Order: sequence, then C-alpha cells, then structure tokens
Amino acid sequence: MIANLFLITLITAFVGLIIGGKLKWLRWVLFTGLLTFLSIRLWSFYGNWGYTEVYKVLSLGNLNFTIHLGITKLGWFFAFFTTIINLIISIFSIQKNLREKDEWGIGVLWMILAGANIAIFMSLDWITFFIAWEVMTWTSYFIITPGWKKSFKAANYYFLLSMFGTYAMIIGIWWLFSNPSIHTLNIAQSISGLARYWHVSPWGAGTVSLLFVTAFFAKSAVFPFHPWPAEAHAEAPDDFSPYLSGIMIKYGLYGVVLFIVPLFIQLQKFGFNGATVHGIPLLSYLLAWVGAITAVWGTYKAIVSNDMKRLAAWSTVANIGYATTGIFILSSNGVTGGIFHIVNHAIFKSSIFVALAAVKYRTHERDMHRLGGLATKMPITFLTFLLGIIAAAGIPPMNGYASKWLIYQALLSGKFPFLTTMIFIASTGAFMYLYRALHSIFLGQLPEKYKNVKEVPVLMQIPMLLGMLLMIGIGVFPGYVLRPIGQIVKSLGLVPMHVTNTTMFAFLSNVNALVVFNMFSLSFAFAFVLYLLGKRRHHVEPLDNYTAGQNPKDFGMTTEMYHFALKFYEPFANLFKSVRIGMRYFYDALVRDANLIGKSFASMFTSSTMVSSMLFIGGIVTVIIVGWLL
Amino acid sequence: MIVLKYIAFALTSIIVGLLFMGLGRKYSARIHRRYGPPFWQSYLDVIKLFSKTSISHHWVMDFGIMMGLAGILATIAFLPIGPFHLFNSMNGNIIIMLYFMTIGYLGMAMGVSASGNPNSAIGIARALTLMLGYEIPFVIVVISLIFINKSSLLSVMVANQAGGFLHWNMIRYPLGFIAAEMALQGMLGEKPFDAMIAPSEIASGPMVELSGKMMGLGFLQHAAQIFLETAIITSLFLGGSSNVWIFFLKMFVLYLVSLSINAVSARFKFENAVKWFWKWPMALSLAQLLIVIL
Amino acid sequence: MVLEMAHGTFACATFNRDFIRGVDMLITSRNDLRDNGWERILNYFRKKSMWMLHYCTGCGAMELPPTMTSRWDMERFGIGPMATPRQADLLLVTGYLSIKSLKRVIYTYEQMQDPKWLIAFGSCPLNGGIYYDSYTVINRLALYLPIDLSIEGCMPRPEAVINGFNTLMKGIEKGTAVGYKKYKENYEWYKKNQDAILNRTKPVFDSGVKS
Repeated sequence: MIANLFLITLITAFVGLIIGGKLKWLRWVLFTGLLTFLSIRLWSFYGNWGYTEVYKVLSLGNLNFTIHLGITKLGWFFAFFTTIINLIISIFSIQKNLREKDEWGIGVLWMILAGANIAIFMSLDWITFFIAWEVMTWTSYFIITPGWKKSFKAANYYFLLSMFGTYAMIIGIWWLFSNPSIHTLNIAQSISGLARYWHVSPWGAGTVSLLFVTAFFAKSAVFPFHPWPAEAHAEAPDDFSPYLSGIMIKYGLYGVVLFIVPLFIQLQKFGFNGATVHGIPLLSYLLAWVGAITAVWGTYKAIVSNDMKRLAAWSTVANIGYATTGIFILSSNGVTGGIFHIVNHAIFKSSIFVALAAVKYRTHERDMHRLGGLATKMPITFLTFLLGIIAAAGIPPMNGYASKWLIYQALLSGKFPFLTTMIFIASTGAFMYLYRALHSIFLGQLPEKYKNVKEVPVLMQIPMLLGMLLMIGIGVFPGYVLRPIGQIVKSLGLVPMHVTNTTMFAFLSNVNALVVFNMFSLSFAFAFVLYLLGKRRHHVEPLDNYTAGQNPKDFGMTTEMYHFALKFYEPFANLFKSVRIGMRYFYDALVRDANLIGKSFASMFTSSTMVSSMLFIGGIVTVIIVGWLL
Repeated sequence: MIVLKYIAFALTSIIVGLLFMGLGRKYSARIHRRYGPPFWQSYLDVIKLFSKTSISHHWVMDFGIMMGLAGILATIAFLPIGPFHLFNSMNGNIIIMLYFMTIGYLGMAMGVSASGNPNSAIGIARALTLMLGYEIPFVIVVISLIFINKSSLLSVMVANQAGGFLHWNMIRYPLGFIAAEMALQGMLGEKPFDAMIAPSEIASGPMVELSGKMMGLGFLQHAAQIFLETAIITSLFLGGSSNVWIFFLKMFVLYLVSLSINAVSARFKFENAVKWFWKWPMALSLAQLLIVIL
Repeated sequence: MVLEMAHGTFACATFNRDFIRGVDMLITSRNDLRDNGWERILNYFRKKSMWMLHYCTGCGAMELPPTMTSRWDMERFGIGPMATPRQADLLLVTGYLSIKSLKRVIYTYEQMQDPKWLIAFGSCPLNGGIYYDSYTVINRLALYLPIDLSIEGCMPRPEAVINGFNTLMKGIEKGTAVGYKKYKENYEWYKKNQDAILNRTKPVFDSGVKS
C-alpha cells in the first residue's frame, strides 16, 4: 500500500524524464497530478494507525536489511500536510517553468523528492529513514544547482553541512545497533532502549542523542548550522524556495519530535537521575536555549539583509528557532505549539516565498531597494505577502499567532522567563524586517522601469489565493489542526491540550480565535464608517509629495531616487558595530589559521614524493598495529 | 448586544483619549506659562480634519490607515475598563493585547509608507527600532507580573491588588513600575523619545502625507492608543479600579507624568534612545524579575 | 493696524496689464461663493482649529516664534504650527517673495487641502515693500494666488498677527473667506499670470541635471 506510492512516484518520474520538446509543460502538470494522487491516497490512510509493511532487501550473514514502512500518527500528519503544501506550490511551478531552460532535471528530481518526503515520514526503522534522508539530500542538492555557478557555491555549502549531519547520524545509528543493551534498528524500540541505557551511562547516552540532534539541527539550520538557508534558499530556483523553506527545513524538527522528544519524555517519566531545570532535563533546557539563540540571531540577520529572498530565509531560521524552543520545553503546550508552528510556518513562509517568486517572475530583481510600489500593479501578490507577514509577525487573526501564543503559554507556565524574553525580542524584531520587506517591495515609489509590470498569470494566483485561505482559515479555526496534533502529543505520552474548533485552552488563559477575528472585523467596520463620514478623498500621483515646496520633477528627481529602502535600518545595525567588528576579526583570524594549518598539511603531501610516500607507509603501519592491538 | 457594548467601548476610548489629549495640551501650556487651548480643542481638531478634503496616493494608504485605527480599537475590546469588560474568558489577556496592538502599528506603517514619501518611511524605521528598545523591558516586567499572578489576565492582576494603596504593584514592585513607566514614555512617543515624529527634522515623519480624514483617523488612533497604554499600566501597577471614574483619573495621572517629562526634555537620537532603553529600564526590569523568581 | 479682507474686492484690470492679456478675471460676487448650510456649521470648527504652515521667505518669520510661544500664545485660539502643507489650513507668506520662491509657494498652496486660506504677511507681498523696484521680487502676490487676508506692517507685531487671525476667523464663520474657491474658478487667469512671471526664472546656466 505504502510502497505502491513510491512505485508510482518513480514511474511518473521516469515519464517526466522522457517528456521533452513541445510537451515539456506536461511534466509539470504531471507533477501536480502526482501530488494530487499522493494527497488523496494519504488522506485515505487516515485512521490505519499501526499498519506496517516489511520488505526484506538482502541478508549478510546474520544481518538482515529490511525496510519497515508504517503509518504512525506523527508520520501521517507530517506526510499529509507537506504533500498538500507541495501540491499548492506545484501549481505555481506549472506557469513558472513554461519558459525556463534548466527545468528538465528539476521536475524529475522534485518528483523523486516528493516520494522521499513521504518515505521519511513513513519509515519505521533507521535504515529506511537514513536511505530516504539521503535521497532527499541528494535530490535537493541537484535541484538547488541546476548548472548555475552562483547557486553551485550555495548548494555546496548546503551539501557540506548536510553531509556533516549525515555522518553524525550514521555514527549514531551504528552505535545504537552495536551497543549490546540496545541492539536494534527499529526507531520505537531504540527510544526505550536508549532511555534505559541513560541510567547505565548518562554521558554515553547523552553523546549519542547529541549526535542525532546534530544531524537534525544541521538539516533544520538551528544555531551552529544557521547560515546555510541564507545561501541555499536564496539561490535555489524561485519555485523551489517555497518548498525548501516551507517543508524541507522541517525534516530536522520532525526527527527531533520523532526521536529526541519521546526519549526525553520517557526519561522525565521514569525518574531522571541527571540534572534538571524546572522539571526538564538539562540537555533539553540547553537545546531550548539553542533554539532561542537561533531565533534572535536569525532575526538580527534578517533585519540587516537587503536581498529579499535572503531576508525570508533568515526569517525561516528565526521561526525554526521558536519551534525548537517550544518543542524542547517538553510540556504539552510546548510540543503542541512547536508542531503547530511548524505547520503554520510551512503555510505562511511558502506563501511569502511564492509571492516573492511572483515578484521576481515579473521584475527579475532580488535586491529590495531596486523594487518598490508594486502593490498597485500586483494586488493579489501584495495581499498574499501582507497576510503572510501578518502571520509571520504573529499578529492575531492569522495562523502564526495561534502557535506563537501556545509557545508563550508553554514558556510562561513552565517558568522560563529568560527564554520568553528571548523569543519576544525575536518576535518584535520580526516586525521590523517584515515591515521593511513590505515597504521596500510593495509600497513606496514605483520605479520608472516597472511602469508596465502586470499581475502574474491566473495559474500563479491560484496558489496564492489558496495560501491566503489557509492562513485565515487556520487562524480563525485552529482547532481543526490542533486536534490531530493533540493525538500526536498523546502518542508521545503527554496529555493533549483541550481545544474546541475555535478556542484554545491553556494554563494561563484561553483564546477564542473566532472572537478575536470578529472583533477585528467589527473594529475595521467601525473605522470604515468613520472613513465614510469624512469628506471626499482624491487620488494623486506618487511623486506629488511633500518635498519642502520643490517640485520633484524640476530637479530631476525620479521615483527610484525618491524611494527610501537602501540601508533601512543602518542606525540599528550600527548599534552592534563594535560587536560585529570583533566577530569579523575573530573569523578572519580563524580562516587565516585554518588556511595555514591546511597549507602545511598540503605541503607535506605535495612538496616531495619521498615525504608523502613515507607518510603513506607510516599511516598503513599505524592502522595495522592499532588493528592488532584492539 | 455585544456589538453595542463594543461600540460603547470604542467610543469611550476615543472620547476619553481625546479629552486626555486636550487636557494634556492645557497642562503643557501651563508648564510653559502659556494660557493654552481650551480642553475641548482636540474634539474641534478632529471634526475639522474630517471636514477637509484629503489625498491618497494609493488604495493601500486608505486601507492601512483604517487598519491602524481598527487594530487599536480591537485591542480595546479585550481591555477591562474599570468594572466593565466584553469577554469573560479573555478579560484583559495581556499577551493577546500586546500582539493585537501591533496590527495597529502595522496598519499605520503600511498606510503612510504607501504614500511614497521617504520621510514617512524614515519615521517608521525609527519608530520600529525604538519599539524594539522599549518593548523588551516592558515585556520583562509583564512576564514577572504574570509569574506573580499565575495568570495573564489583567482582570486577575487587578483583583490581586485589591485592598488599598499598599497592595498596589507600584508599591510592591517599585523597580518594575519605574521600568514600565520609562517604557510608557517611549510607547506614547513623548519626548525624549519622539525621534519618529521630529517635525523640524523629518517633517513629522509618518504623518507627512496625511491630510483631512486620514489625519483625523490617525488622530483618533493616537487618542485610543493613549487610552489603551495608560489603561494597561494602570491595571498592571495602579490597582485598576471598580469605579470607572477613578480608573480614568489614575490613567490621567500617568499621562500627566509622561507629559511633564515631555514638557521639559529635549529629543534623544533614536539609536541613543534604544541604547538607553537597553541599559536602564532593562536593568531595572531584570532586577525586578530576579527578585520575583528568586 | 489696518487689515484688509482681500477676497473679491480688488480690481485687477489696471495693474500689470501685460501679464493678463487675453484672459479676464471672472469677478464673482462674494455671495455666490459663500459657504452655506452644513458648511457653515463645519466652519465653526474650522475657525476654531487652524493649523498653519509658515512659509519663511523673509524677515516676517521672526515675528512668529513670539506669537507661538509663551508671550502671546496663539495656541489659545487653536492655531498651531504644522510641518507639511498636507496637514495645514493656513499658509502664511511671511515677507518678500522672490520669483523663484513664488514657484514653491504656488506648489505648496496647491498641495494644501480644501478649505485653505492664504495670509499675506507684511508689506512685501502686498506691494513689494522696500523691494518694490527689485527685478527678482514680485510686488503683488494677489496676482498669482488668492489672498484671504493681508496683514500690513513692516513687520507687523504679534498683536497685529493675532488680530489678523481673529479677523480671518470672523470671515470663516460668515463663510466669506473663500479664496480657494476663487482660485479654482479663476484658475486660468491665475495660471496665466504665474506662467508669465515664472518664465523669467529659467536657469541661467545648465546645472547638468536633466529635468
């Protein structure tokens, strides 16, 4: 049943491979069709919890490599919502790739990626998980760089960090399997095994869980690995960025919810003899702090960036930070809020990226200060972006609010004042950079060269409309998403929080999202009545502006010059000048020293054949001696 | 019923806010040793503004300015005004309110930057940077109060302060109160933190292109904002009140304190203001938080 | 203090005849332009709350700070300074107007929103004052923009300024201060005058900026 999905995906990918020439638009229609099919099939899987499929691949001695696929509540939920969002994005891709040159490989690989996506969420053992993970990494690597020099560098960067994570994961898996007291590849069994082993050797078990955390954080761009999205998301094809930022970055957090969170919860439940902070294990607390640091750092970088896709990528990093913090609080509200934020972020960030792709489709421009005033020309895109940033800033009637509110509840009821403050700093800062993007791209003065820009075609508007609908819908009726998440939380061993369709109940207070929405509509109606009471307003040209009495046209002022967008927050950035310079010296010194060491190593091998061959022989001898001794 | 009640709330906030502005102008005038305008001057100003024609560069401008007023009024729907409130379960939910206020700021920011005047964008950039300055100490204070009261409802906090002057949070948590008062000065945009308006420098910043009823709506938003922000501080620190007039009086006293500082200060450069906010109010609020949690 | 309500009362045909060749000013009676009905009620609020933009061309600006601040305090009449023409109701031309700055005054006046009033402040906008024979200064502002009120003097003291404001208030209440309507009705005439004089301000040398 599940394996059929992958078979069909592969067949479709093959068909997509051989389509070419005039029929190339069919490849993308096929992609949308495939995703529709997958969504419908996944929907029909709902309720078959515990269903498993086992395929024996090969056996080596007493080692049996089997593929376990199954439907869990957590896996199904992630698989379903990611496929739906992918479907929405794919509608955009049909139009976008009509005139693209390098789309051939992207289409095929993306189909395989959609299959790997489901495989990650449906796998029950580490080997399957690892294979799906690798397929996902490789396909996305080739999608990010379809033969462009600039994106090649970005993709390599992404790939190196992913590789680092992958090595950490494979060491962790090997350790789980080789340890005699755990000795399993099954994910569920390894959790309980590791939890038992924690009592035997806290340091060993802690190190292994940290290996997995490294793998997951590398994928999700949490703190030490935070720079890759800014490179990869920005340089990826415009229609792939929504997928990259909305869905792919969540795999790491899925891994955390799949493996690390149940582990910590089990530790918490069956008595934990290590250090705890406010009832959660110290390691978990530290990881929550890592999330908070990611949120603040991502926010700062977003404020000072000028490239619009980079800004959105940094914003993604910040949002991942919120979700990480929420999840590692390990309370019911925290995990619910974290997972809910993953869903919400997937929706609003893919909407934002789709809107940016639409802007780029029409203007071929990424630097924000070269754009401006597009709201008149592209109203649907503008509205999508507006609702997206309202959601991203966590302002009530939209979906981002509900999840941020839950994370706050978790932090406040768990007594984490400093974490709450960090999250709040990130949240207020989010408002700064989101407004900046809105102003620089869509408001202000329209440059002369974009006078004839039109709204994007209907096929591109459909995903935006769907995105807006989802943002408002989930914002007003969070219960429809929170109930399935409640089931997941229950399966993790926590008490699910109490929700109705519109109301969220928490320890400190409750929120009725529908009432909040109605109040806003009512207030808007009130303001509108006041607006109608006033005298008539008339429209004036954008350049008919207050310029201290000088007519701007008289002194050669153009709309481009009259748009304030470059170095928008420069005084703010200057506040951190001293810190920034210090950091730069540090990094420069680091790079210099690393190069020096690297060069001396390299010179050992390249200076003369003698030295290098002696080193080679010495290495082999060492390996042999060490092998004997062990 | 709830709609009528809401309209009463909205009108009260606007009318009281405008009254505060008028009285405040008289008060500032007296500090300057002037006679000052009549206390109903703000009402005259608003009606005059609505009787003028206006311009708009963009439909987003109209939309944004309406959204600005709507955001603040929607926040007031969750505010307990003395004994009155609209919703039982969300009676002054401070986290919702802090976030809901931002939609007002976003609306205003969007409306004015749609006008395409760089002065307005500079003003908004300053205002948002300053917001990052004062929100953080304020939020730390709010967090410590939430910890004390184990609830994020303003109504619960007011109930916990019942029983006379000595039970007010202002007396019990003086450091937090001072930090919040400093943050209030920034929230109201009074001197020394009025770099975003700065009429002589960036031509009144965000308001540069507002005319007629757009300006009128902005005026109403400012009035409602004064009402909202002073009411929040009153509920947090001054014990609220079950008598609505005493409640208004406490709010007015807070506003007058802010105006007194305004009347005798010069303007801070806004980067310096942010630094200042991150130094003094932040230190006070953190000290308060440590006292609370230890 | 002699204060002249200038709307509709001055004759224009004899002065500077060469500027106004071809187009005659429509002399509309004050009663036709006068505000009536609902507008008269609104006029009460308009006169009570006048926000002014002072165009500081000359020495007259010096008289305004004392008028605004503690000594004479014009805020007691609801009059206050504003930063931009969009927000303002009153435009004060404080002193002599060179031809170059006339252009800016016109642009500013047209950016203001109805109802709006223009006050010519001091002798210079009335008859050129001590610059009556200068080739760079215009002598009569009324030819280019509709003046609602002139305050004579060189310079008028703050008392005179406040007295002038009060006179304007009376006019507004009666609905007779309607210079902006006159400007609309006679736009062609004003435009012709403006163009004729502004053509003299073509730049002498090319600054290199394309306009």
